[in-house]
Amino acid sequence: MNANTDKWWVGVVAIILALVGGFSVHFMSDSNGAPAPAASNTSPKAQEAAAPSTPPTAPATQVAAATLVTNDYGRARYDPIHFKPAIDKATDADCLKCHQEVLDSKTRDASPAGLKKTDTLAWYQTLDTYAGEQMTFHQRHLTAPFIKKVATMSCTTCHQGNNPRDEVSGTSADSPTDLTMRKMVDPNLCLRCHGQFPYQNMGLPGPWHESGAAFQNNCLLCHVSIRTNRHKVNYLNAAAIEQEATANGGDSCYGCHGGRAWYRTSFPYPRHAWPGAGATVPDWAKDRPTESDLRFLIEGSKP
Amino acid sequence: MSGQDWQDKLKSALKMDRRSFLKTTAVGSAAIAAGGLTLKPKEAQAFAYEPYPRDNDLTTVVTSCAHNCGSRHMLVAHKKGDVIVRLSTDDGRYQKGGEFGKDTFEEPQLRACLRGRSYRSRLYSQERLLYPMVRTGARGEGKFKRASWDAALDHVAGKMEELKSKYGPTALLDQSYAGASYGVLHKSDQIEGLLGRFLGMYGCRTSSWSVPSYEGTKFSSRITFGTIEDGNEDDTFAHAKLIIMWGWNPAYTFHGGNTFYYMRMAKQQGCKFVLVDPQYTDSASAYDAWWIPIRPNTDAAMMAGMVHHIFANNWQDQNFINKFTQGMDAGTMPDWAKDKENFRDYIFGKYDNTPKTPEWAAEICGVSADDIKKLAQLYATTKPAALKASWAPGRNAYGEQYNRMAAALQAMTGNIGILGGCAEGIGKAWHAEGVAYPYDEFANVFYESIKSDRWAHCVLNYPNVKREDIGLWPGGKAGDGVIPDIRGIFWQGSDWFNQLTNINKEIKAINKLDLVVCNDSTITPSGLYADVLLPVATHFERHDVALPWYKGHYYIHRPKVIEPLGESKTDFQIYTELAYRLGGEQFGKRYNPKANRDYFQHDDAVDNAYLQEWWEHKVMAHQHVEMSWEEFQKRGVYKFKLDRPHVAFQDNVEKGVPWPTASGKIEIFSGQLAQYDDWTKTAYGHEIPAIPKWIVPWEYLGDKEKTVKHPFHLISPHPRHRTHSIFNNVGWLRETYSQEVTINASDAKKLGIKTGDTVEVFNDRGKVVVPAYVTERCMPGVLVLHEGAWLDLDENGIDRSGNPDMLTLDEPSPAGSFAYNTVLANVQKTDLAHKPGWDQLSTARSHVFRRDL
Amino acid sequence: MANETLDKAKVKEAVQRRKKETYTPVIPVQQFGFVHNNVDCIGCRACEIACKDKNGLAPGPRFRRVMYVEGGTYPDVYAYKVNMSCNHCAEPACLPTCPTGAIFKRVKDGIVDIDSSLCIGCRRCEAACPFGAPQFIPDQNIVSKCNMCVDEIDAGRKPYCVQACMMRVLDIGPIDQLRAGTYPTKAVAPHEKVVRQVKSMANPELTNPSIVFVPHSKGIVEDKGAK
Repeated sequence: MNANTDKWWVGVVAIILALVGGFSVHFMSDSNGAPAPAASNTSPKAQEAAAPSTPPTAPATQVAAATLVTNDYGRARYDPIHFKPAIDKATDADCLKCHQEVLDSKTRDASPAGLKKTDTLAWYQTLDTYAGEQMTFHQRHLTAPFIKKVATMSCTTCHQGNNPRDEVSGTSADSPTDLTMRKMVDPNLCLRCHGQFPYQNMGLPGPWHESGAAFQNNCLLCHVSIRTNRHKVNYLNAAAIEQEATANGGDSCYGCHGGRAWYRTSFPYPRHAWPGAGATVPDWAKDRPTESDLRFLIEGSKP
Repeated sequence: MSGQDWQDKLKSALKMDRRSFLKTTAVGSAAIAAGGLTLKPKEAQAFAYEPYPRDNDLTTVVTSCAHNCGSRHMLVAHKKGDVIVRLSTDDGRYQKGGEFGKDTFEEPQLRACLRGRSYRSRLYSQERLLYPMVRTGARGEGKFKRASWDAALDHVAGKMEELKSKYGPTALLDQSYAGASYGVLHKSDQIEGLLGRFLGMYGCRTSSWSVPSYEGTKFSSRITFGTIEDGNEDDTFAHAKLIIMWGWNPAYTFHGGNTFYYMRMAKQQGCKFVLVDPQYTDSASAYDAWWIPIRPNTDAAMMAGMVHHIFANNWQDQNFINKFTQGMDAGTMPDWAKDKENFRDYIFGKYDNTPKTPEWAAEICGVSADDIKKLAQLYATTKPAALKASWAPGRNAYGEQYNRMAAALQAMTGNIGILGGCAEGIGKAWHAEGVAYPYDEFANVFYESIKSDRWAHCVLNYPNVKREDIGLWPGGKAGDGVIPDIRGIFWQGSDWFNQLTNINKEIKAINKLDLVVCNDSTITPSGLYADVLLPVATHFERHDVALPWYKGHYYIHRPKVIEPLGESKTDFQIYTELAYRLGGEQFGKRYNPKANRDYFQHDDAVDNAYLQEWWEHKVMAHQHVEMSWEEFQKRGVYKFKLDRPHVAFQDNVEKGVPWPTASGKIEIFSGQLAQYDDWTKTAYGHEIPAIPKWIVPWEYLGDKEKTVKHPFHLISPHPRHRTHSIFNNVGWLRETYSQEVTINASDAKKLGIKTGDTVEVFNDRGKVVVPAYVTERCMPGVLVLHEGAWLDLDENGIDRSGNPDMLTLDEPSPAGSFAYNTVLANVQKTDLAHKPGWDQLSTARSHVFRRDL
Repeated sequence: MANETLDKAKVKEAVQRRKKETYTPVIPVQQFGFVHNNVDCIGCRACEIACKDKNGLAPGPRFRRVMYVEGGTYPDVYAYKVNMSCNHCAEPACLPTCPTGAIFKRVKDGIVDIDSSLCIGCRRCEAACPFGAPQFIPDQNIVSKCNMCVDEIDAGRKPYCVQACMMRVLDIGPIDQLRAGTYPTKAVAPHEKVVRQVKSMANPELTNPSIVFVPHSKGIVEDKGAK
């Protein structure tokens, strides 16, 4: 495929994007031969991201200590590690012993039609909190510099087991329960960081991209005193998040609170008490728990 | 076609998806797509940049499935050049007066099931046999070398001549079965098959008379009704008020093209459903049936208990009994047999002082007396009610007794010959014109005929074999009672070695043979034991017409959709050519009268001539069909509209037409059976009572001694993802269902077995390794292992695929029914390995995370 | 080319302006959706195989999946099937995740499709979909999924899975009419009512999937609305 054809293709992509998200414009400049703004504006942060990261692979000694893995694929699928309760104790090293490829395998450099991965970004990837090259979602959630800064994700943060017999609970007398149909991960978990920006709850006049300017694009303008007891769960680095928010204002918060909203709803975060919280609970928060899920509690914080 | 050509073809056929087209053509079409580029957003289009072959751009060819299941559905091939890109099925367009979406009660669409839809995978599979192969290693080892047709056929012909002259006319055993059957021309079958006629005409053939699927049921239908045509068409099920599925799982085994669908209509109209079965099947759930779990092989006892309860409460249709039955009670016994046992008196214990009460039955079958009574009342007082006595409980020790007992129940409640009732049994309904190949006095010539599952016994013990041990059919042309000296086997449409009982015994026997010839389109486990593998064109690669199976009233045209792959030929070509080699022009021309010797190269005109003659002289002449052969070929399907729903024995009941039995009645008491005195001179070999009786099976859960060592009863029903062994090599299907042994949750708990654990199932006859499925849907004490997994032996002779016939016994019931479901076994966790398929690839979705294995 | 005349400064400005927006859902003229009868389905999976054949899929990825659910204690047991492929959501979660714009939703009928020729295999859509629709194709390192057989739809027919259904319990139709029970379909018997969600299925409020079911009594979920 020659370079000229590549260009044609990018133009075609632009049309689709124009329809889907109204984001044709910056691709147009790309097809014009100019460098794509987002991809070429490599910030120092992005260069950090491009540096080789250390995947959470355990040293060999640790691997040896993990569950013995059989060569029998049928047996491997039913290894106890894939089920409760063993999965709760599984370390990343345990998982990666077989599943290393989730970190090793790469996205294609170019799509089958020749669209180069360096030439394309989704709108959310233009946010300041997004850096580095295109990765698979597993890599992005486990090894990207930003996620490593603000979170301590491990395989079992998301993965709580699956049912090899059929991707649903209740396919045999002893099949795992509480699985989401056809999913390896409960989407409610994804919703924590991929829900809508709940501007109505906050009493804002509109979505953040409309109302943000009125608050200097700074969430902490209000939230320095409201719900100060934030992100106290074991898969997040609360301190780093606070620091990030202080340094970058709204963008960093928005990255998880509306900036990557795959879903129509917002996550009903637990309503931890905070200093100065009023006694009245607003209607939208009435059904919410006051504590995080047991498995996400930071050790020692609660019984 | 060269080997490389074929491989390219295979590759392109299997990869004919929208992605891979792209690799070669993306550049051009991208340019075209971009040619219309403007800044104005426009509607995105699917495949705008992908040259995906749409159905409307492809050539459409109507054909059908051809494997040996209980149905026959339409397939529509969409092809590009000589490659089938994809298959669809009936959508109402193809029949006369059809249009897209037409799907009426009278002319429902003939939609193919998952197996039919997977044909492309089988057609282009890795196991596809493409060239004649000659064995170079030991039998079963799987080492072959490619041979020319000339060399392979010369070898076969030479061996045939040698064996015939040395060992006489019984030396060659015909093991043609229905795996490639149900075409009117290219047939594989014992009675109406190309191989049988070829060997019979050649003068050397031992045939196999018992039908593995339903010999007990067939015996019952013949003895009781005088015919196997005791079936209703599938639409009649829509009219029932009660349907009792006795060992019947229409969600898995389709009897008729739309039986399951008509039953759904019945459900919507308030029909009640009952399932008597050791398993809560998917049929039970779909029809919301009352599940009555029953111990395997005890069905006749439960039915006897029901009969007792119906008689005791006087709920029987005495008028029907008096008019239409023989021997149901003392009053209906024929004059000559007044001193013989009648059915009612047997039930009430007159002859053995054991009244067959529901309480008596409950002890045997594990169903509570209350439930037996409740079901008896329900059946006797609901009209019309269909008791569908399926074949599976008949594949048992004394399985024929179960079917005869069912016929007695059907008759005593007057549910025979009425719309919404049922007299099945075999269930053969509408009569199709089934034979287009030359059918003459040589059609079924045999020199001895044995019970099908006794060949290994016969070979291993020859000549010290008693005729009753092998169920010798009387009247074989070599002289009555001559034990066949079997030296060679021919397989056609038959993965027999994988499917017969007691495989370990077969392995011993096959090594004593001098010749094993296998005709197949696929290399099967049986093929590995053959000396010569002859590649057979699939039904996509030859011209034929599909018959409905035992239910259904339609014909489907089966043109040669693509040219035969590799060097494959049709069975008819192979036997014709062999006939020329063995007996020159005389044999060749007689075997295939419309052909010359060049038939081996050019079969199109001859095949069409046979089919056209069949259409014009049989279908058009006998069945009031006006559509021409040309129009039929163009449309691809002909659906009959019947004047009235086809109900077996309707005229017998309404117009007094006699049944085709000796007495003209429904023979609960069989005059024929009552008059045998030397059972060893019959094909059955052992006594069969003249009335239906409960006879204790040789292995079952009621056996206190045998269950000490082997506490589980193993049944091996038909799987859904295979037809017997056919399709086991299709990855798509093994992805949807796995070979696994079903075990009740409480049993599993005791043994520490969890779903997914690899277990071994074993008895004194063999051992198999298979994963476990632990469920509440199975009766305690019962194991379920679907038949047909492809044998995969380890170095110790343990089958790693989970083929239940490693454990079955090659001891048929007197009437001939295979005792596939009469097996005691044990189960335990194991360290041995299970192999789901020859390619060893598991296909679960999680596989995509584990590409290194 | 036309876009050579674009003012690059304006382009940059536009990018800045839109950076903090979310995507705008496509509102179709008419949204097509699936209906499946969980009870009457015999679970034969003919739909699955028809789909695999149609889309040329190897074992592994399954665009459509018939899931078996069972429960109870012997002998009082139950079983039913749930059949799902892509639900062509009103607000698909997959769509905004895609960094290449390969995923789109048709205005005409709301069908969500992936133009796999533009896919770089990042698998974000696969993770984001609450219903497991996008399927990874290992040998090509791309993601693909059900597109409701758009080619068949455009030809005036129904998708292969629907046409394969032996029990006639799977169908497509305008989702508003299917929800209202006004669309004539054999999948739903006259007395039966349909629901948006069944047990174990992700909350439909996440994306508003275009699918309804005739549920089994043991598969009913209380409609709690948005979580």
